[in-house]
Amino acid sequence: MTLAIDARGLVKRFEGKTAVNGVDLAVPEGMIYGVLGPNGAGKTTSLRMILGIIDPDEGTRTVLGNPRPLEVAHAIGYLPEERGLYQSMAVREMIAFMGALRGLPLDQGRRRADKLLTEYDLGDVGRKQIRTLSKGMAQTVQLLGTLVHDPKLIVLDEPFSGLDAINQGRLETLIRARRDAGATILFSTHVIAHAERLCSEISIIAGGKVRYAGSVDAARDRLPSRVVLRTRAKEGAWRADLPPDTTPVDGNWHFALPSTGIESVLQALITHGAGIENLTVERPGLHDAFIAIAGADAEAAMNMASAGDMA
Amino acid sequence: MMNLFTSALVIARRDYRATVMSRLFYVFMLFPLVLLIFGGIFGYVMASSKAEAPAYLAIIAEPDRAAQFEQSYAALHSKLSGENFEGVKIIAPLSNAAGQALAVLADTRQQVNAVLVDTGATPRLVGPSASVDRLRPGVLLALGNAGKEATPEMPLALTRTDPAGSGVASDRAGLGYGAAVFLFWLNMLLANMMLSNLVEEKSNKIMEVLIAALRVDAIFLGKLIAMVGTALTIVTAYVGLGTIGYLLFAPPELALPVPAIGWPLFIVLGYAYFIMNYMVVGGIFIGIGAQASSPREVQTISMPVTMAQMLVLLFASTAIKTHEGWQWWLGALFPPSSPLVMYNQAAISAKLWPHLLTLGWLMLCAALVIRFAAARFRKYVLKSGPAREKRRGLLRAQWTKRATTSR
Repeated sequence: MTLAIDARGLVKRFEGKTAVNGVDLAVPEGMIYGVLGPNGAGKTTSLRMILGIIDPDEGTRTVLGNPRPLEVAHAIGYLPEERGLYQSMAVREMIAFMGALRGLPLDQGRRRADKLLTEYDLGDVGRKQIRTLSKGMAQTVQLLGTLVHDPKLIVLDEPFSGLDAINQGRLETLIRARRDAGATILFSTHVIAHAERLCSEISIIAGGKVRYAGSVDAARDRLPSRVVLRTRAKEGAWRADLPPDTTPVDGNWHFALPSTGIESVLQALITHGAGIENLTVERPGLHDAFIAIAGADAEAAMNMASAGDMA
Repeated sequence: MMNLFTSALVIARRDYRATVMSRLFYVFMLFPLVLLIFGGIFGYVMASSKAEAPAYLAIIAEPDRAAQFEQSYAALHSKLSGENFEGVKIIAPLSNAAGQALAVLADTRQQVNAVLVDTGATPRLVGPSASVDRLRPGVLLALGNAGKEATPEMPLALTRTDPAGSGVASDRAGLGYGAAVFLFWLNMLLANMMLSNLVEEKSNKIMEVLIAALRVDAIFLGKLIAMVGTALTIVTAYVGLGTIGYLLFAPPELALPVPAIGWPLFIVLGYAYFIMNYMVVGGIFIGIGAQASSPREVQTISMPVTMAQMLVLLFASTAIKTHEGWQWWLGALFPPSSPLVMYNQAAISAKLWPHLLTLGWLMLCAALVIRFAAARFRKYVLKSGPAREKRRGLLRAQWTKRATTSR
């Protein structure tokens, strides 16, 4: 398996403060890969180092087989976290310019811009100035500019923030389509749901370190499944047979699936006549895995950030 | 990977079009025109007030000879009406006529352009070169009419009273200094634009898109090329306009001396030095401006920068005036003043090779300046903690703090 990105031991300090503290990232070609973590965890700094915008204080990175990422800039598309376009430029010119930055001839860029805009139902804005667009539209234009030169590696920093639900869905479709066409996609997010839906593999970064790297499934498998039980009887001898970590939540019993399986618990419940109203075994979501891996503080930070996005 | 120049041209093309195609550019283009119109009016007023002042040709001779000359000179004047003839002022000779003539010329109240001393066998015209050359034919004719044979052997002796070092050499020195100052002002007007050149990219966040795709020195070089192109567009328009205006309307007194290296090369060198001056000084400015993160900071920095430019002019002037020794060499080699000093040199010396050497040297300097500015930008702007914190805004700062405390 060839790696599109192979970063090892990246360290970056800003004015003595360590922003990234030994991040490893191995992104296989042709994969949708997510970097998950709260804001300030070091995601953007890690991406910027991988892209060669800044050099790491320590560590190495190889991007598309090249240790100097700017030398393969023509094969990379990058959507920064903070979006920015020239306000006075026409939309198609802007997209063509972004392609030209990556080595695509301008006239070809303009033709592709027209095509992309039409595909995205924005065919009529091609000659409008960027400043006349809504924020979401401008963001879409920047995304199209990021992709206009058909990059082999697409790096998207928080691509979903600022988009409404419909456009988030379109972006997910677009990302999958690019993957199917052979591109590698690396994106960062602090919204767990996006990573869960899109990624085959993820890295969870918190406090400048990778806390977990691997498949979403494996992350979830790190936690035992959760059991939610509702009984007619509230008390009884069966209580003694529930695992010790059982907690009552809204009239339900919550506990982790015992390593021996659910059968022994079930037997006790039946024997003692607890009266099972409901019993579900839930596979843990990435969310729970994330809390377990990154810690409760990181989760609090994520929630705050999500609230900020909605505001 | 695109090479440095291909990358730079991508940036340059966009910047040039964005500047030249904008409506504000027309205002920018019109502004010097307004200055030119005012300058023209002012110049006209000055010129006409100067023309109204009476000026005289004095004659030192015995009264009847002098009267005879005055008559024939006046007759000539009426025949050749429209020519610029001075009135004749008769002065009675003293014992030392030559000394008397110089005294008359030196006395500004007399307003005498030249003195004809006609007391001996050969009349002698005394005065500054310009006046003597202009008046000589008329005086010869008048003398002929006044009864003297204007023989080729001893027609009219001339005494040029030019101050030391004047003549073609001094005219060229004046042209050279004027050219250097012109170059300086052009550069001053246009190079300051480089200070704020990156503020747009930084404030609209497009910087991140650029630096992710291209080397920083390619971006800087591209921006410089775009601004040089813009500046040349403006300069060519105005120099062209100025040249046409000069050829059509300038009075002959304003005739420019031919520079030692010849006009075509002088103009080519003017462009070459302007470009290199712009690249070096603009490179320094874009480097300084890149460190600023807001228009306000650029404003703050622009005053000391302007003062530094004035110092460079002072430095170049000193070098030009001393014209030799270590001061000249320093001025000729120091990159910001070198184009000024060497352009001055083109007016007074016909040698071409020093210019080729200088242009090579300036190119090297410009490359180093851009490299250095890009390195500073990468080191101090892209990597510095507080600058990033500021750019990312309050929210991000808060999160960073939160993440730090939670660790």
